[in-house]
Amino acid sequence: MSTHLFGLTDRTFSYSHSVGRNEFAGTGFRNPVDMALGADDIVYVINRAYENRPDGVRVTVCTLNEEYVTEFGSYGEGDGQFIWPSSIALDKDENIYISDEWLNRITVFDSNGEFVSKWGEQGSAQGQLDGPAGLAISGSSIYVSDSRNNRVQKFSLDGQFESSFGESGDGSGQFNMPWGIGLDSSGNIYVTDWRNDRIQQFDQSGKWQATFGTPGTAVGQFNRPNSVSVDKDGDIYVSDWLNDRIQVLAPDGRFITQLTGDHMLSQWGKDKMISNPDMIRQRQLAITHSSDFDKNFSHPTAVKVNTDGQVVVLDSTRGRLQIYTKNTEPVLI
Amino acid sequence: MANNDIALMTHLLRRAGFGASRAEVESRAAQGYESTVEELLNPNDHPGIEEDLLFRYQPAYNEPAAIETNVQQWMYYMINNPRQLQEKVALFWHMIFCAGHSKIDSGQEMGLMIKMFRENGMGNFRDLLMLLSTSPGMIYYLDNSESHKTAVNENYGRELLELFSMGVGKDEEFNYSEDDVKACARAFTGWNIAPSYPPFPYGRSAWEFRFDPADHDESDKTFLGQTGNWNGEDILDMVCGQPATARFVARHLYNYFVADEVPVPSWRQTPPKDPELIEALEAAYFESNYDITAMLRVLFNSESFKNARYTKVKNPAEMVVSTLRLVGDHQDIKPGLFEISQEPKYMGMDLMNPPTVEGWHTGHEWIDSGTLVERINFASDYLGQTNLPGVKGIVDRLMSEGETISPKQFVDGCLDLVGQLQVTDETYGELVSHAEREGDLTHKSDTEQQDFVRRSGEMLQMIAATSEYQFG
Amino acid sequence: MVSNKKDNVLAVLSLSGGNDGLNTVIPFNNGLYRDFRPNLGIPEEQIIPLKDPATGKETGYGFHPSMGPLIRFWEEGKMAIFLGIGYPNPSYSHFRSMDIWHTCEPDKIGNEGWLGQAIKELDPSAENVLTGVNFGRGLPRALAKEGVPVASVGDLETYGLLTGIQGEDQRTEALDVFGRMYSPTIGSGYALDYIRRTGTDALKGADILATAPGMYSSNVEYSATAVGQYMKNIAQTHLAGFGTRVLYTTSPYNGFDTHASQAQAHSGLWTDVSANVETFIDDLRGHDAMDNVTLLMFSEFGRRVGDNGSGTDHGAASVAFAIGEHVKGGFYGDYPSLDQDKLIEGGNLEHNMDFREVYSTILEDWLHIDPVPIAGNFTKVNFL
Repeated sequence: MSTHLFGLTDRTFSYSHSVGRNEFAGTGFRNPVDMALGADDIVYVINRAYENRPDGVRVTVCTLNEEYVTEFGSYGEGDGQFIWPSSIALDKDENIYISDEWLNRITVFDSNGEFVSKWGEQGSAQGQLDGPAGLAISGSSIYVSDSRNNRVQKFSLDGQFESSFGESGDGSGQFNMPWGIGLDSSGNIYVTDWRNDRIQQFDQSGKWQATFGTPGTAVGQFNRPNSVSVDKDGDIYVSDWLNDRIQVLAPDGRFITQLTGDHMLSQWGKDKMISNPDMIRQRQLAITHSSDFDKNFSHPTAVKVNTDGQVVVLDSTRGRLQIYTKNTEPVLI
Repeated sequence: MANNDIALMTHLLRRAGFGASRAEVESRAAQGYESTVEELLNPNDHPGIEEDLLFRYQPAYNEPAAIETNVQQWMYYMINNPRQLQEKVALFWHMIFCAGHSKIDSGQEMGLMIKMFRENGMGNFRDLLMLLSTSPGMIYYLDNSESHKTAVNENYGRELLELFSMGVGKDEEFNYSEDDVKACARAFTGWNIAPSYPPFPYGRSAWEFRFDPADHDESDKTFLGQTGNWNGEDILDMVCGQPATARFVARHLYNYFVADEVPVPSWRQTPPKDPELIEALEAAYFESNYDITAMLRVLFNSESFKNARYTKVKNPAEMVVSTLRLVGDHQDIKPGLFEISQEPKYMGMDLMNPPTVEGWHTGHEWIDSGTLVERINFASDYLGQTNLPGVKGIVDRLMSEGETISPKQFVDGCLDLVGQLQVTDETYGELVSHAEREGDLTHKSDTEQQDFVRRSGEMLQMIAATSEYQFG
Repeated sequence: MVSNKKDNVLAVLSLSGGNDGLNTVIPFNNGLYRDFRPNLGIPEEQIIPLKDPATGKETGYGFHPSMGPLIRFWEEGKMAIFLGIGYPNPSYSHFRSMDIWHTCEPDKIGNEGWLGQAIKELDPSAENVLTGVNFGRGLPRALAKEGVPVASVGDLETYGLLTGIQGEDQRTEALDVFGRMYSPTIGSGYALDYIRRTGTDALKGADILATAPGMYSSNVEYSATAVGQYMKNIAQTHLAGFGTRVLYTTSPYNGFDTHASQAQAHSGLWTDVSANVETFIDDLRGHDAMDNVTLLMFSEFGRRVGDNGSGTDHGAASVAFAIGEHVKGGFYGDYPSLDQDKLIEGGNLEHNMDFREVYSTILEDWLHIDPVPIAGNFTKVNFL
């Protein structure tokens, strides 16, 4: 899909498989908003669901090979509950940190999904939160995109304020409702500056370094980007939410390629269809009419990469993950 | 500012929208009546809902699937869309071009139909009928998907004429014959829906209109005296040129925006309440080549409209939304909209699911002993919440009237601030004597202030419970 | 208002969402059951076998393990189980299918509810505003008919007008003012007069209903769930003797819609329903007030025969229940075949008993009104 040829250093990606289906419990996701990749192919998916289906608000734990593990968390204001869960991050022991944009707090669970602690309070003073949206953990610190305060704050893992950067605006180092945060291997910080339709890069100290992207639909342009990840080669992956695509940028911000979705039925999807034979027919007729609907991403809310070169896209409205592999060698297609 | 300007503007914003806070009424009154009407009539010149924010906090509202989510999203739009007339018009068409979720079984299609009414409901009536006739939800609801060249299903053809455009008759005459119904239905054969993805496992695709020429009846049809190989579009052209259609649209606009009319089935025998205004609306219909906005311009600038204050029983959506706009709740995106979105249903108006193609019975028929309890409790619960910004604003204004206010001044102030509500002498007397039990109101000390706030909340609750508050 | 004559009363508990009939009354001797339910089949040792109440012989069917409390009524011969209940050309939409059960109109969209029409027959001039009472907010279409007043009670303990007003004295005063404000006027226009008359009626109905909890005392305990509260409210209203003939409620909306994690969800649902139905019947029996009550439990449809890995999706024929002292216990209808070639669209149980047969029986043999204009022409099921 690359619009021009840059040579062998350019990356290509192949669709591998999908995981999940739309479901309010168990083997599927409902309006998932973020995910985290753990050890042993584990993926944690936070489901926002919606108000009249509070049973769908939960964290689903499964593997990238579509094995269901468990789920935890529920709708509410109590400990270990969520109203508007927005982002998830893991520390090195695989403790789980989840932000809640409505309750203005971060909840910590252990790797079994047991509630450990919570921290955060609403406000605009240093260390207070107003709409914590994105999380990223680096060693013993956690970055929080404090969306309505238009800044990124850094805390210790137990919630002690360490530092912050950013302010409201559209200049360099300024934000308009930042959302996702990604880190590269050198500790640089990437923030999706959501309502400014761009990605900003900062060094470890929070000093602005670069800005990628402008509003629009062309390559390298964004429409409300909400998640950013960086792989071991330094390539940058952005979920370009309202453009229904993932854009891959080179470390210098140059556009490499975009992914728009290549979905094939997952195993859980097949299970669902087999017990609903009439829908098998309906689906087949629909595919003959238009196959794009099934393949394409719909409002992807997160993109994550792992060290195996897998790129995992949280294809939100369709309730599934689409998984790609980054090719090390050229692939003849 | 002259009191009458405020009263007139309150009336306009209540009818051409879902009411407004006193502050907005005052700024609109300063802007002027005709200028406000023009602003309402040209919604696309002004910003609407910030959808990116809405979808960020309520991701399920982006391409909403479940019926409940679609109703919630619409409720949010009704409360918050600055283009208020668009929402009012969407509700208007939903109450005439009735299709319901219980048959369609796709919340998404119901939401898309309302979106179509929102975006096109103030445009050209012929275009709107074309969109309606190609609306997959409507095609399915009225069985046009089951109407074939070899086996015609007359449902859509009939309802298009009877309920969506001409009406059965006017001035005691019939507008069309049974043969016209058959010809109309034949003209719409082949107007169908393309296959769509089922709900499982990843959610439905939006239904799409598809014309199947092989299933379309190509033979000659005689419709309203004209013979030819008519397709659906030809029918719409002929229908839109009929005086009956002008009358039908005019009476519906009058019934919804001006004053409760007799039920639609009686329109053939019963002349319009206000023949002069109806005539002016019919003239605007033809002069503008069927433009709904042109008709609304005539309507809102007419003396009949301006004088028709508190003459209509609020429908449940109006009751809920106007109360929330008055008290200033749910103007941010926040949890709780699901409960709100169910309230009209409790009051007898299950939005996106009218009981039949004939829609809801309106006017005083909205009210029975069950729905009245729901209406009163809802409105008085909200008006009694003195911490809500709109109610707080009312209390602040009451306090600003003086250090001491008499019970009578207090009642006058409350009635004024809930939208210059007009009440009968008996109701007024009861409210004043209720206020008199605790005497004058002052707000010097903290205790007096607390009393003032409490009494204001109680008085507003009583006003919300009056029979007069049922009118808008 | 207190009626001395013990008119027959119908109580209805609608199991909203589509109850999985196959895992409710389980055909455990049928090998196909295990084939279709690899993930959700109930282990045989957990199934509560249903023995013929007269002979004590195994029937080959059994209750879901969480339905233990209901087995008593079966063994007493007071429970009718309708197997394979449904209607032709089933709709898989909750709304449409529920509407069909509500209106008895599978082919066109019906406007009037079967019980709304029944109430009209029982009390033609609406002399008693409480002939029909619904528990839950919003009126189910089953009870809808123009000119038939049916109160919808969210919670009997707090039901009434101006419930948002804090403080008992303030509320009493407010209701006084309300009563005077709604006193009839002359010449204020038809709509205003009508609203005031309606308000006066509503106040009257609420005043009567408000006395029910105070009159009620019992030594049974309902669960603190919605079903528990509604079954208790039905008992309270019945025991208060307001002359209510139709008492209706619905389990939490779409609760039985077990698309996923069904094993746990379905157990929870039936634990709740079974316990509260048992409590309800014990409550009424304890007050010597069960004799004139029949309880009907139904769902808008069953579920797919095959499970989808963790749940089941919308299906067709299911089971329904009637319990009462005058119910002739036993199975009615035949269990639908699980053979692949007998399934509708390859995955659904086909009905063999139309729900309107059951309605017709209730209307004619229990409420003593002509079933034909309401339910249509159906053979009765001889369970009453």
